[in-house]
Amino acid sequence: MSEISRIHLLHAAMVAALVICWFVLPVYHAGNLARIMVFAIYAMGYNLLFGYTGLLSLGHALFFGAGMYGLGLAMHLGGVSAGPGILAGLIAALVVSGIVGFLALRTTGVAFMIVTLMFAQAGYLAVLLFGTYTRGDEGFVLPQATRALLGVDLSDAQNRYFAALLLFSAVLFFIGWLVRTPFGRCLVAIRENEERARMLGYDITRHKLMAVIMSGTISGLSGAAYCLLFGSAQAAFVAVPYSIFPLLYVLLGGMGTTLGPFVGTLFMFYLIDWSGGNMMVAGFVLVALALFAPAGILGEVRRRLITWLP
Amino acid sequence: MLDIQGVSASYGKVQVLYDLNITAAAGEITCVLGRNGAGKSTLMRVIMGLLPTTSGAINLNDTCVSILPPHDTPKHRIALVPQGRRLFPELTVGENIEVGLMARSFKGKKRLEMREKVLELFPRLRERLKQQAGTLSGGEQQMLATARALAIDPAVLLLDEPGEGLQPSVVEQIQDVIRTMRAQGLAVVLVEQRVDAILSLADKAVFIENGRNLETLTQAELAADPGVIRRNLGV
Amino acid sequence: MEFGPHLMLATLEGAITAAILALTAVGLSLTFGVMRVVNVAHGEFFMLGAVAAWFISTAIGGHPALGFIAAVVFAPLIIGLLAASADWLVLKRLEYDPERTIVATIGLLYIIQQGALIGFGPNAQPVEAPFSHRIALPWFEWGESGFEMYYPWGLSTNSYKLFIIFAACAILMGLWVIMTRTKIGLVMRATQQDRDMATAFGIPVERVYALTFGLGAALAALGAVLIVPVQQAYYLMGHDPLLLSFIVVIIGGLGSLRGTVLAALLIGMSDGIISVFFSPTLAKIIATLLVAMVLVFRPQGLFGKGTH
Repeated sequence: MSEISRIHLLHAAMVAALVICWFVLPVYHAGNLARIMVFAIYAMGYNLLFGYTGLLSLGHALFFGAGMYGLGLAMHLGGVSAGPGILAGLIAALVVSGIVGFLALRTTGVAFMIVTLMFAQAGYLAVLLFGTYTRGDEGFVLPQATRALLGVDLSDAQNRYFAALLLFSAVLFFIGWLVRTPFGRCLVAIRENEERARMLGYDITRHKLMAVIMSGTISGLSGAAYCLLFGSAQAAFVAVPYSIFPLLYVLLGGMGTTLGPFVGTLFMFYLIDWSGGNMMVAGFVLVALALFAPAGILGEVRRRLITWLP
Repeated sequence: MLDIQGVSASYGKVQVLYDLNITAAAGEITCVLGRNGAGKSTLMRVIMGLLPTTSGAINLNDTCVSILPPHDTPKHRIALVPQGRRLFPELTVGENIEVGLMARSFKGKKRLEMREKVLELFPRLRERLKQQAGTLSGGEQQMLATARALAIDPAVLLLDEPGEGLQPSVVEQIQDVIRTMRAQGLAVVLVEQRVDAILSLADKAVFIENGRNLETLTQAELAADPGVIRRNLGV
Repeated sequence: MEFGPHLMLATLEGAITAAILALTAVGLSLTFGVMRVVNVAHGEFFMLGAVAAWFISTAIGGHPALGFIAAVVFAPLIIGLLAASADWLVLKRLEYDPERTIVATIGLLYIIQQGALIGFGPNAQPVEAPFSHRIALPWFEWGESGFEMYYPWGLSTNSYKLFIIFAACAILMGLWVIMTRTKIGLVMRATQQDRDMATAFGIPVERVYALTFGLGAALAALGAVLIVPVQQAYYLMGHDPLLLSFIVVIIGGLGSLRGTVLAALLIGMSDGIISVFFSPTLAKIIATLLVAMVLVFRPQGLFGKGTH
């Protein structure tokens, strides 16, 4: 079987497994999975920039928030329906990531981290400043009636689950395809040795900018999906912890792997759940992971067992 | 005597030195020659302990130094004048030398003695003691790097392309210091690429290529056939 | 209150912010600059300083000055040792790899924060200042009989607050003396400037790193001990200092302690002053964007020398 076919089969199997999960798992866990899948989209977006291109951003919550408030404000204040709302969210994320990319890519390494962090902080503070529209920390709720797309009520648990699964699968297949294109391979080349890629004649700046925009837009899609499916928007989602989470999920699950972000999100979610919100357990697990499994869960699997893992 | 026996070394998975054998006797200048990328600077790092050996051993007289922690190297009186000088750029001239003196924990009289000795060799440095090392000229930097190494009162002095990018008068001065050190009984290991320097200084020439021994010639053999240098360096 | 006196008050508040920020940021500058590690848990060391101060002063009781002195001596010591062990046990083993260090220090952040929540509790606890005297501040006005000095109503400060500023200056100067005039300072500076050559000249770099890491944490803790009588101890209080310290260190320029102090002054003072006159949120937005722009157009910071 060719490499590409194996990868597609793996992804398809993953999606099939998730379909089965809905019917097999108790309601509580199935509900969790819907949430996990939405955040996994966020993590996959982050992985594109960090895991594949090697750029560590500390400000992705800005993109998540752009999607969330793009959709949320359009529907809440503008009264648009879900379809245009999603579009609004995506466009907002696209524009914001374009601007941030244009400015922040003038820096590298640590400066890049801080610049992205600063933009995200400014975004968070802006959400608070314009509290009359955004309701700040308290946030606002989208009425159930508005959360329907093409006649499907998305506040229903089953519809919500499969909507999340649909989006998740779409993004998963997109990334699986993208990283095998010349563009995707160039991103990896940039991560491995930027100077060399430049000397081989690749337009590094353009590639990086595209990576930021794609990464930001996917993250925005996650934010918009969250707002639409779970009906709320809050400033907290644009704050620093929500910039750290995708980094964590990706590092945990395996950076530069297609399924790593999902695994990382799943792992972290249940780690916190089982420790009863006791973050100390999570803390020890993270330290242990840094010490013993630096490539992340799937990263280690890829290193030691399944070398063809995408 | 510094005895490198069957030493191999790797950067991660990439092997760079293969089973090298080199001896450097006290009171002699042993030149290590090879093309760019032959492994000369890597060899320097390995002797200093900055890169571990994957096989073989490096012995200084009766002590095996290759198994020691790298920061113990000065205690065994091995000092490096690295390629590109590698001074501490924001420390002053005096402070750079001080780091050398601290390496052997010289105190009181001995410390002042060594400091004087080193400044005698390079009077220009004495005038610039409070100047930041990064602001010195190329030649002065080379002098300082050499002074810093000599401050530990070494038995083995490693120099990696000391004349690179310097004007002839400074190169002369450095070469005089190297000869003085030889006369004082140090084992000098000199990495060089310039033919004239090699011919005027080397007691022994060790050619390496791709991390392996090529051939080893004495000073007499070099003098008899100077062209061998160019042939081996592929110049 | 009129503009003039109001500005003076704001300047004073800004100076206090700048003073504590300088201490905390210099602590980070040491670890970040010397070891090149992003220590996400740095703010938690700050928080631990405040929490420790509360524990110590509660345990000692009596006159608050006793507890204060004990806290100033012991809190940084204990927290410094804690940090040094964390470096020795964990970070060293990671070989200071940037990504692994971030994950490990995030883990450390969760451990310390949760530990504080369990041991200290979710509520903010006040710590009494060792001394506190109201000091009325004079203001000048051009009156009928020439330049007059008077004491506007509401324009006052506190002797302890003034003490904070002096204490921070003294500590920073002490640190400068240590860094430039002692053996250990020379060792730390050499290690920062060229790690390999430091090793080649006998410096046990890993031990220096543990010391640096401990010292950085101790400075943050000391800053917290000083500010806690003004601010209260709270288990989440590490968040803002972490953010601000990073901004200050980057803006000031990596590896430049002088740059860090100057940047702390700049950012602390402007944050304090702008917050008094304008909406704090707007002030923060402007400050944040300014920081980003400085870095975009001058990535090495205001005083940095570019990468090495």
